[in-house]
Amino acid sequence: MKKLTLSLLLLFLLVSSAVAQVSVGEAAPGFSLPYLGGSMDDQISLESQEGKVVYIFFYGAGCPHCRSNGPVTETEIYQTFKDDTNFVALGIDTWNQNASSNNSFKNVTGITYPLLLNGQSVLVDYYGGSGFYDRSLVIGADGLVSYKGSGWVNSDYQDVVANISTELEKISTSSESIGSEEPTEFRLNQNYPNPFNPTTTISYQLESISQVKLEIFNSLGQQVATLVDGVQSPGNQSVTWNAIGVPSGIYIYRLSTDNQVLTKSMLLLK
Amino acid sequence: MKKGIFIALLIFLGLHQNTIAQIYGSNIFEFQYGNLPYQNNKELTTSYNQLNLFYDSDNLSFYGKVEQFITPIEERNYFDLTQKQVQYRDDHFSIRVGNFYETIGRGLLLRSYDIPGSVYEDAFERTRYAFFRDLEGISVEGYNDWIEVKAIRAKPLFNVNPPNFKPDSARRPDLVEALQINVFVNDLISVGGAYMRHNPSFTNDFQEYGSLLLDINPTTNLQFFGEYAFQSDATLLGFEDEDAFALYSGLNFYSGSFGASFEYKNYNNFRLGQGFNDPPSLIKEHTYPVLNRSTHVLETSNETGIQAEIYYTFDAGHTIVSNFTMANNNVFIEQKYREIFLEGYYVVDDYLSFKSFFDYAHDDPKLEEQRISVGFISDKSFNYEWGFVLDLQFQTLNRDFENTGTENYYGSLTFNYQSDLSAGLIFEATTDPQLTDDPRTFATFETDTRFWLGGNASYTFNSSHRMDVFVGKRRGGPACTSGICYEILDFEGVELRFSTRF
Repeated sequence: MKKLTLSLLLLFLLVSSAVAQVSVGEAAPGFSLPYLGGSMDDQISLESQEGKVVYIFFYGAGCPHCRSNGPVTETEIYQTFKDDTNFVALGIDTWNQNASSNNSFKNVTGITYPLLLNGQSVLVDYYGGSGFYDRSLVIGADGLVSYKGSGWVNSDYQDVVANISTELEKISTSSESIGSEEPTEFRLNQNYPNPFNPTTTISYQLESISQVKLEIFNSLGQQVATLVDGVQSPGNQSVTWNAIGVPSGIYIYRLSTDNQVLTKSMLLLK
Repeated sequence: MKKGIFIALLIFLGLHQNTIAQIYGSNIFEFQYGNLPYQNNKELTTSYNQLNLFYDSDNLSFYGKVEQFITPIEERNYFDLTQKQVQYRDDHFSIRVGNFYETIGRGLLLRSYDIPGSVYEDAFERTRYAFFRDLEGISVEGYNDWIEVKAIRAKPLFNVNPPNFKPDSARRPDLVEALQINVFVNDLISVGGAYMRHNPSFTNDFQEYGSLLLDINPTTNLQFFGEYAFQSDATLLGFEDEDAFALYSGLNFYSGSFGASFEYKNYNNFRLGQGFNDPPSLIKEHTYPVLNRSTHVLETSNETGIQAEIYYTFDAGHTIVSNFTMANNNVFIEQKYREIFLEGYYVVDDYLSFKSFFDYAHDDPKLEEQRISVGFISDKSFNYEWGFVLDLQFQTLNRDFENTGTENYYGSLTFNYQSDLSAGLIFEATTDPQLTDDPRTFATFETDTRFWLGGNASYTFNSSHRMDVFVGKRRGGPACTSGICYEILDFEGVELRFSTRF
């Protein structure tokens, strides 16, 4: 009886330690994840968003609350800032569910920004546990966490909008005072080598996260190949085309996003 | 503060003279050899043990739950005293220190629960543990014939984090303090009120809530009950969009073999803390597998709705049940859930009975339309010596963004002998893309039909010992028990459970 009492007493005297997790003002842990519509090898990383204000919606694809609250991240947050090239929104599935479930989530919420998959480990880095969901987080252009939601996204989206505005304001203020940073532009480079046989590399630059398509056409305007078709991060990108089995001649390559199209030509000599 | 109260209680209990004492308890041991489908690691050997030990002596009782989990992967293992409680109780007073279960009102403000015998596992943590949401702290109650008063200061368990989760404080991020008073005006009427203060761990803010309770039984076969809970800054009975409130009420009536019930809910901005409240969902909880996993999960951020049910029992024992459920969500987009359920039970004779059901649902939150479920169950006994149960269920549904409809199949055949021994087979299949798709191949949506086939057997040695065995594949998915919904993982392998009472 005494031993049992003492054991219970000792257990109650145990003091819990503080939660180990990233706090506001600390460096945001990096991540690189596949996204809905892409392949396992084509991933979006936090590092590729350097210099931008990043909004993250931690959701579970099958989470009923996230399905109810997801639309606010699209209508009140993403739609508010999507035209600002210094802003990026990312959804991260923390329930590690399959692409089909995430496609269902995209349909029910109407979210149009990229949804990153298999992200439960990212949640652990940011919140110290895998059991959290339905949370907003903002990372400033300096790479530091500027906002970390402790409540459901429907309860704090106005605070999130205010925080993103402040962080974007910091960039414009910084640019005005320094005046040196060149904004990233949408650009399609000449392939190299050119002429080529049978492989060549096409590089290009994106100014924001975009749905990208890179297609090859022959001189008759017939499509020969699609090298890229998916969401890609801003910055420099490149892809190699192996034209084995394709006859010699002039080929047109066309890079298109939601609102911009660029074309160039190249020569295949066999 | 908590330490001081506990030490004072121990001194008081130490002075208490014991006359009659008993120790009793229960134990569950579960062994698994197998894996989760789509997991890359090899088959695992896991052992889970749960010991519940009680010590009673007059008005005094002690309780402890010890859980242990062993796998080849060390970081998932633990051995922990996951619950402990000291209680003193007499005819008019009780005090509990440690872990306990308590509900304020009808759960609008606070509800704790235990799903006995369940072992929970999350696909990420892969640690198995008992599924409950208790409170840790202190509870004091006083009661007599006309009044009941209870006060609580405790931290609800955030049970998605397993017992080995570090730090411990992350498992109990919320602190609640509550006082509830119920007055039994007479045999027919009781009224009550509650006050609750909530302190989330992430902030220094306190949120305050109130609640009003009413229970009226004008006649023995008619009951009306209701609860209205609200955040302190809400307009009382204003039901404004920006307010946090929850209204739940119901009416029960029966006359002879006929019974009817009607319930109404109106919840807004009422997800408290990490989800420690569980207002009644007002969705019929089905035991039929195809329906149980299709349930609508309550959205307390905004949900209104009704549930109506009527039933009739014939003299021969036949029964019919009809249920209608309606729920509307409008958090940021309007979503509707509608369900009509019909069930019939027909008794042929003492040895043969049939049960069947039909269910139609429209489920916007899941984007499911025309979800139709049917089932047929036959229970045949041979002189109560041995018998069998055949259970066949089918479900079909459409999602407008998917090209093909989804079908779910369930079939089981179970034989039993003298209520001590049973053995059966369970077969399930689905064409649901959300279940056929391999999560490891994001670029491809696999659509081939998935099958689960498993066999189970159980044997009750005596009133104290029972053994259950499962071999094969078992389908997981959402499951609801007593209004608590959670995810069960698929499993493939062998599972052995040994239950003991002493």
